[in-house]
Amino acid sequence: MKKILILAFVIVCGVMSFQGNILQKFSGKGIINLELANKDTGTEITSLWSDTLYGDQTLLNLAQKNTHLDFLFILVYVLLIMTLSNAQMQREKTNWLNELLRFNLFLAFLICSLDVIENIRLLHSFQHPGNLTEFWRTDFIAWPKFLIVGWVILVYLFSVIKGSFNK
Amino acid sequence: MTNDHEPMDPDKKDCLIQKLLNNQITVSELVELRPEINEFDLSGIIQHIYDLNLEQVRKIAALAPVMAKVDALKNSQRNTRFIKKVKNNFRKHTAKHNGLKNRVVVVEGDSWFNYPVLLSDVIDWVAMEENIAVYSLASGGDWLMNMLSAKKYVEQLSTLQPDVFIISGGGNDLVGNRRIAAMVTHKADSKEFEHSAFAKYLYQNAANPPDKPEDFKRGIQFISKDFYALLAFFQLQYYFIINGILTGGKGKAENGKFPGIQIITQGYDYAIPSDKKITGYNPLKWYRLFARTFLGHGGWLKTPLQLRGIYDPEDQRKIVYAMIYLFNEMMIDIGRIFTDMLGENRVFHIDSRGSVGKNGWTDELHPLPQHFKKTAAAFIHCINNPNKNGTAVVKVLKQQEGGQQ
Repeated sequence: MKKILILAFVIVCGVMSFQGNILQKFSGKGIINLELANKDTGTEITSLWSDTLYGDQTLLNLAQKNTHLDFLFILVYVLLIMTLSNAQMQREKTNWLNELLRFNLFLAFLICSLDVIENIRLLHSFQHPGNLTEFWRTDFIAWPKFLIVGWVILVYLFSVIKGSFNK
Repeated sequence: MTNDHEPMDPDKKDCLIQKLLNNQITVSELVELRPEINEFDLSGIIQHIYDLNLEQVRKIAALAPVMAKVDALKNSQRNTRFIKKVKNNFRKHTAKHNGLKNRVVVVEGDSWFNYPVLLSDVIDWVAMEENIAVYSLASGGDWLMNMLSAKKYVEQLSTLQPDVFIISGGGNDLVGNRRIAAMVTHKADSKEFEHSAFAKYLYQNAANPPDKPEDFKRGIQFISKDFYALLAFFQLQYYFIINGILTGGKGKAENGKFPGIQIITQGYDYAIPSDKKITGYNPLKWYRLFARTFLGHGGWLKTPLQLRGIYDPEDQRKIVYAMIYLFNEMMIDIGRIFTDMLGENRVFHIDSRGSVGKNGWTDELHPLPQHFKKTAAAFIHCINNPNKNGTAVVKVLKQQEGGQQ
């Protein structure tokens, strides 16, 4: 299970970063810039992507595809967080850290919910490129999401490193 | 599995089984019946206790497919770690850190031993010990009856020849499918305890008298004869399993296939019937709300008792108190039987009674992970320091106070 998830994670990550690199290269803005943008900057980015051609499509089409793929990525990384945290729970003897790893399971669900809402809002904005009133901000979702992801990784790594010192 | 002596006359056996089912069997009759019981008899008794045919009994005792898969996944992870651990000369050496002898353990049991994903159960904590390698067959929601009929442990005991066999079962046979409702009467006038020679024997020879005798007295006023029949039936089942392991079913140590094997049992703590969903606002205990909302909380104890017209929460608690008290004493008695038979302690009991407390529960039946850890500490102590000639009971509460591990 763990190995399959890691493999899926690497593959989806690879495809998404390939798409992300194209966005960055041809417009100077990546998908994370859009996620964290305010209303004005976000409108500018969608407008720029809409006007920039990449092959027979625009960058906005590519960003849309990237966002669609992100739904799969969410599923994979949430399952991966749960699997890794759960496996580590079965090795972590310290009560509070064991409890924090268990809390990661809940946080994974929270991250998933935030990311899905964020993607829906982004897809809505993609339907109205350059339209200030129809741009739905995602920065107030993206920031807590990244903070929680950071916390989850920190707890997991701390437990793993602590465990390796105790061996 | 038969004994060396002449088998009991079938009519007499039937008569004793009928007495057991009617809560009229004496202790000496139970002692006489115990070694004569075979799987066929056990299957007949359970059908009578549950008033169902064997197919129906198997149906209600079967694990839900999703549950079985999740349990199997957890066992698969555990057993992969087991193989990895044992492969590296584990059985030849002692632990690096504490110098304790490395021990191989096979586990069969229910949700106290395999609670998937959400909780760190007793076996999770035991398996974290450097000198203990655990092979798990446990399944949350499993009935003792299933463990006995599936006999998965027999294969693994033969293959792995472990130092220790741990078994936990009976809880689901009592509370699964709302069975507890059939074990009580709402009138609070039951005299079945007085009629049950076996239960009275357990009470009089108790390893530990009840810490709340008044609660016990009140609880037994609601308990019907079916519970006492089930209690005796549990002992017959455990006797059958353990006698098979220790003496090959012959009643003599020299016939045992697993010389020196140590068997450890447990008997749960005093669960509290409840259907309350919210018990606090600590976000780290989010899983308590999750378990209480989605995983059957209230349906094991509270609702079945309400269905029988027992509405007072204190009475509900006292009924479960009396049942768990007697269940533990029955398990301790099993240990005594084999100590007398083999001349040394081979069957140990972890006594968790009173260790979880009022606020230590995830849901109706399962303690919070830190309480599972306390029970696990008693198991670890028992595995590392088997007391061959003293007491065969390790009290979790005493372990906590003594801080020993």
